[in-house]
Amino acid sequence: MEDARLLIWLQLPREDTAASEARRAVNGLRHLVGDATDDVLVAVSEVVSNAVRHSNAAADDRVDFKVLEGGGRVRVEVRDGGTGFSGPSAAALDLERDLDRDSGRGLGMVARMADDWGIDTADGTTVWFELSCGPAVDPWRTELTQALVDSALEALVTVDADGTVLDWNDAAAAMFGLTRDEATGRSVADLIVPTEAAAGSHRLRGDLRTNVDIGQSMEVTLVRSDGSPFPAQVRLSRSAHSARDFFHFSILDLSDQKRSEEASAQMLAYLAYLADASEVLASSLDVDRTLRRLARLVVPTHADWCTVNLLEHDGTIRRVAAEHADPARAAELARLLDAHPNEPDSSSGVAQVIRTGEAQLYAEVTDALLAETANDPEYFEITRQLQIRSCVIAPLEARGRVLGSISFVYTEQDKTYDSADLALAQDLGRRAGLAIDNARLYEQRDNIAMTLQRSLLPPYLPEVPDFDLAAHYAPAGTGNEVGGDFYDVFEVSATEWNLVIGDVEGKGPAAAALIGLARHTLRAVAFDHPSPAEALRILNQVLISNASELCCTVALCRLRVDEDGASATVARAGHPAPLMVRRGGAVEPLGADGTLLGAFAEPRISESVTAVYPGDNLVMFTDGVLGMRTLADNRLRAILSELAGKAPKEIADEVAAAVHQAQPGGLADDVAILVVRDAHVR
Amino acid sequence: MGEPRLNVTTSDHLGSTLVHVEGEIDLATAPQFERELQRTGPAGELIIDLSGVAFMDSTAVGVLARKSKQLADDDRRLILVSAAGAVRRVLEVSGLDKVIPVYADLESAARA
Repeated sequence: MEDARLLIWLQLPREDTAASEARRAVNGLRHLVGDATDDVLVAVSEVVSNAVRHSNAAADDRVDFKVLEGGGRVRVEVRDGGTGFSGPSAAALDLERDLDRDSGRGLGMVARMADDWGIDTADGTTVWFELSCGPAVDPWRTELTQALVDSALEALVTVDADGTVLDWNDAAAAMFGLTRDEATGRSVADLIVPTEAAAGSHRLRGDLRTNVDIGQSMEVTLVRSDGSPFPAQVRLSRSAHSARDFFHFSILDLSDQKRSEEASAQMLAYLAYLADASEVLASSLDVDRTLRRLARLVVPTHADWCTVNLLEHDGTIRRVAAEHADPARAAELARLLDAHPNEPDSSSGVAQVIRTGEAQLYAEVTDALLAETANDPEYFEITRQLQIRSCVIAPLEARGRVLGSISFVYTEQDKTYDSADLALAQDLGRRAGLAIDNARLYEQRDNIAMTLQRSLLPPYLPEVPDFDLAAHYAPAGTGNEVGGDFYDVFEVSATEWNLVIGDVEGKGPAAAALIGLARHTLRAVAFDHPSPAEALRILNQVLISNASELCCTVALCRLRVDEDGASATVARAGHPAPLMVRRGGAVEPLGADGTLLGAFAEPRISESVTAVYPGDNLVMFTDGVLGMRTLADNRLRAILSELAGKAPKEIADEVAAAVHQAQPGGLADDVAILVVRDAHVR
Repeated sequence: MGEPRLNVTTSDHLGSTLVHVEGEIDLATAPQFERELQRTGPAGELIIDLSGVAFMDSTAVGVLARKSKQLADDDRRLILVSAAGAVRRVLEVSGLDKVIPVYADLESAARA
């Protein structure tokens, strides 16, 4: 046999089951061998059985079984390692004479069926036979196959061994934008494989005969005739007819699937980000904005329109988002939804989901269903206009509480939701719920911080006769925590005022408590203890006996005004020196350094008195103003000197501006500034 | 290969013993086939229905030939039922159809 092609090559165990195994393999060739298959089956079975039963080969020797095809014939070779086969006698071949005798009959049957047969004993024993064969041809079969190819959803392309297109079905024409006539005769690689490097496309280049991916399903990038690439799943297979090789491409366009997967991934990534990014959702305004963005992500891949509703504190349901796949119809959607707001006690839809926390899938929304759930004809008409064909509603929930709901709606006839969509909506609902919950907690905390902070600073500065006052306060960070700086101004007597500025170590509730204690202690002791140094020593006692872990620094100034003029008595406990900015531009630090408070039982604190003249400004501040990362001492003095005699408000604003300017990335520390100017006309 | 590839059931059919065979009869299953045939009733005609046999080879031919001879010694008769296909082809090629009557279906076999 010339140009024979090996169809089967098996090594069979020398067991009784070998013949059955060989037959099973041959059965798979029925399409090639056609009507001769039964004869081949019988002959193969006989020859293999002989090799198993009669050979004198070793028991662990295997039977080599080959089926070849070529030139319209099928050839079977069965070889075993045995020797001494003499060939069937003439008597053995006379089948009818000794029908009940087992030996030899099988080979006799082979001889009758085969066109040619023989025994080769050169190397072991090989029994071979050949039979004419032809593919099974049913007259209707070709037409049926063609109809199947043309109706296939996959693009089916057949090429020869050189890759030249021989057949190109309707789906291929649609997928690649080339008709069968245009594609036929051209190189398949030129037509569908991108010229530049693309995912997996090298697997389709080169000689198809040596392609290692035959029979594999692979995801590759292909290209349409307009040059646009797209993801595809390709299965390459091989067949042979009349000694020619053919290759078949079965191609699925994965564009839609990938788009949908990407959209889902994008949405989930956004939600994962939301769950973490509590800082992003710092207010209810942020929550609304975020939910609108979420709704925009849902359309158009997962819904024709999408709404998000929140349950308000008063039990009403507020719609925060209504996004339509067609932006031009968003307004109409909002109008229709507004025309019939969700009633919290409704027994269906959004209200029901929010009340029960159970997600709902309405795979097919019919008029009958709408009529059942509508309370009145007007509502029924509105829901009809919303064109809801299929709908999923999932709760937004966190920590066991339902915060709202998200609805996906398809308005087009051919789209319906299933349980996978329901699961997606539920997942979205949980993640969005968590984000909302985080934002609300954050907002709540923010409110507490701001309320507390306000209670720790004087709500407004008191009127001090013949003095002008100004203060500036800026906490570092986002404002979510109570800062550590504080100041206070209060009247002690008709002629005496106390000015306080301080800085508590740390932030948050513990710092807030300490500020409260410091402020109220200083107010209380001021009446009995005119000496600022003494007042600070008492505060130190209080802090130590309070067993607070925190320390604080304070500068305390008692401003006294009498007939002789004004004076400032300053005591400092670990705090930067207040600066006296004389009307002429001189800048003088006040008070001697002292021990910070709350750390030592015997602090070293002294006080000093300075005369105050009209036009002088006393500037008190915390270390957020003066420091390595903010303003150098001489820089601050230069600024203040420039501002000599100006209004306290202007001085406070200018210093604050310089501090902010020195830290473009935001304040590293809280900033408090208190300025008082002698406005006497003397 | 754990499951048996041959299933033999025996019943009475209009006074004859009817043996219905399902599966494949070859080197591996022929001994079982022969044993089952030995267990069939001692008298009357024996009909072996091979219509449920997907494949059989020359060892099955040997079994059938021996059974036919054994029955003939007791003046009994063996009848086979086999339609067209691989099994019928084996009966023809082996020449067994020349010594044992073969019918295409059970009805014609029972009438014979």
